[in-house]
Amino acid sequence: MRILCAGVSHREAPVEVRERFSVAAGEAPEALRVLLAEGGAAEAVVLSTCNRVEVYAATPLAAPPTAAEAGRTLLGALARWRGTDPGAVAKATVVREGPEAVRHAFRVASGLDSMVVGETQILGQFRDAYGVAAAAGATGPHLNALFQRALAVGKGIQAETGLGAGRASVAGVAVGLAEKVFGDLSGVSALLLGAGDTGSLTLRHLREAGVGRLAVASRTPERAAAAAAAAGASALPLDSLPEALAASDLVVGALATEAPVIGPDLVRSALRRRRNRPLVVLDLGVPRNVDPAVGALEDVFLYDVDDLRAVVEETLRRRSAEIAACEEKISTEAAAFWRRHGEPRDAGAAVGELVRAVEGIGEEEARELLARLPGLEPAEQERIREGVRRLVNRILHRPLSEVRRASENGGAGDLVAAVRRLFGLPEEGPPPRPPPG
Amino acid sequence: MGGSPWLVGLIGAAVALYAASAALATGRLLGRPWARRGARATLAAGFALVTTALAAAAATRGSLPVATVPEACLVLIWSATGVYLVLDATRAIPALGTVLLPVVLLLFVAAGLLALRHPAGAPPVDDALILGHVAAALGAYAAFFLAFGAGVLYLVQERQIRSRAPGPIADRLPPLARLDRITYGALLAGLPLLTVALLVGFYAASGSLGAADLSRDPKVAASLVLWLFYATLLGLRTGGAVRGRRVALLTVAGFATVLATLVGTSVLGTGHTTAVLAAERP
Repeated sequence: MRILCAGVSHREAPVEVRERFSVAAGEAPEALRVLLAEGGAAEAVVLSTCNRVEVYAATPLAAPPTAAEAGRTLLGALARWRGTDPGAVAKATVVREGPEAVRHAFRVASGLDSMVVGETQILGQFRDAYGVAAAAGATGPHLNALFQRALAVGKGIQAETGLGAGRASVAGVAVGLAEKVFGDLSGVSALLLGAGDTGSLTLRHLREAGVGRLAVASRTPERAAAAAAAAGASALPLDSLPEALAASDLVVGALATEAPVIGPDLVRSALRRRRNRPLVVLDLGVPRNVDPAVGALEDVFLYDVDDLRAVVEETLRRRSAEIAACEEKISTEAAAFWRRHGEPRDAGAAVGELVRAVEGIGEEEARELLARLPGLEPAEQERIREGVRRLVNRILHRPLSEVRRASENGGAGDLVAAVRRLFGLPEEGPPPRPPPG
Repeated sequence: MGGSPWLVGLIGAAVALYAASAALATGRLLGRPWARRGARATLAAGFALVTTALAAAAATRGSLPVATVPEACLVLIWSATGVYLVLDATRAIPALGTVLLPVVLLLFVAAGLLALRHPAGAPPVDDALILGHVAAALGAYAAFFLAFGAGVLYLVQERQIRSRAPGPIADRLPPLARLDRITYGALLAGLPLLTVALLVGFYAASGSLGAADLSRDPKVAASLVLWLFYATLLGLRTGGAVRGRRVALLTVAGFATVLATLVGTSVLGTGHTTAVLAAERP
């Protein structure tokens, strides 16, 4: 079997290209069926996220003869099913085979191949993609082993290195900061000032982060109402700010304003009314919505947009420092995986089958020869059998040595395919293992 | 706990395990992968050794080993560790160990020094009232110890967040609200226990010691100051007059008073326990 990864990602293809291949969660079983039936895959998993659409597959080595062709066949089937022209994405398509495909899977699961390096969401998406494929019966021993190991490697990288630590977007940092103060956000009340693009985006992040109650206050009540309705929040007039401030744990300022609308006196008064419960204030406005003096008040945590950006930059810097160590760990893990599950298994099976096949031919020929030479002494018969065995061994010596050497050096795929083709050996993997429960 | 060599060896081994656990807990807080599993296991092993030592001492003595300050220190270590292990197992707050375990080690050292200072020990405590007094006081101290640990973590986390450049440690510390809840919960548990300890102690002593004798005991005075301090703190926190950083600072200061009450007065040689016990006896 050949382990393949074929697809498009944010590295090579813009979103207009990626979206042509995109497979929604509900469509995945049908896409897998197409890949197995028309794409030449014996096993398949489809990973479709905002940043990539990739097919991981185990395909027979014999046909198509090269990995590139096998990858094109897979994506061609997917493209036809999607109703798109395979040629339109051919340039952006990357096909990886064998150890390179394994290493890529490990990098993807670990977040090393993500647009924002170290993001942790991909591990869950990777797990879901595998779960869907396993449930659809599209995985077998090769991809089960690959995905289970990739998930373990990804989890290990996230837990044991600083690659996934911290938040790497302004909205993410804002949510992370709120979590550092309040923990679970389901009991938190958030107030958003401003209903523009920044405000709406932040509102969406807060909703996704599980903030319990959301309110939007804006100078234009209609815009506040529209933004609130879109995010399931309540709309407030801006002149109700003193009351709203007292009732909120998290305030996000994204108002277009010439001067701060929140000053220390207003916050002091709100703190008294909220019996000094902590207040997190995130000022995303430029010019600032919140007087910097507010940050000096006890029980108030004020971050302006520069503070948030600085945290993002620091997070990315820390992650960069971890990349080399993570790449090394992944290379080691991928090589170990390939030694155990990759070529040696195929090469070993092919070698065994070849020996059995040629020895069988030798024994058959020896039997026929002895039948045509009656009256030979047992010792003479044995000498003939021994001669045939030596002939078989001499014929097999070089092919076997070459396959073993190539297997040890990590490049036996094509050779094994050639051996199977030349000697007519069946294309057969080890017995299937059940997917994990 | 007397000078039984194997008991001393048991406590010595426990100290080594507690020290290892403190180092591992710190390593875990600093994000060292090798420290992830070891901290809890070494602490559990140390806790088992202290439990064994206390059980053996209780069996030999025929009563709880709380007659001297070193013994009381050990029981405090035992109860605080037990509470922490349960909390860590159910709520996973490994960072708390980074703060609590070094103080526990200091308590071990204090207990050892005090044991050297008063090698003769004290008569066994077999009076139910005195036992109740001691158990309630040590329970209160353990709760205040926990509040101290959560308070220190609150101050560190608050400083991280306020710095506007929180480091990786901020990701490994619990959220402020959680630490505040732990502190408040520990105060809510500790104050009633301290109240019971004081009332039972007064009642037990009133029959044998006069009011004048009690007023001359610095430990009694320190305990009253402690009670007043924590009662005020709890009242202010419940009313919302103080929260967060101020409560954390006050719990840290409060535990310093606890240590002064427990160990300090003993170093000064007030003989609180033995005086009461001696007076109890005919």
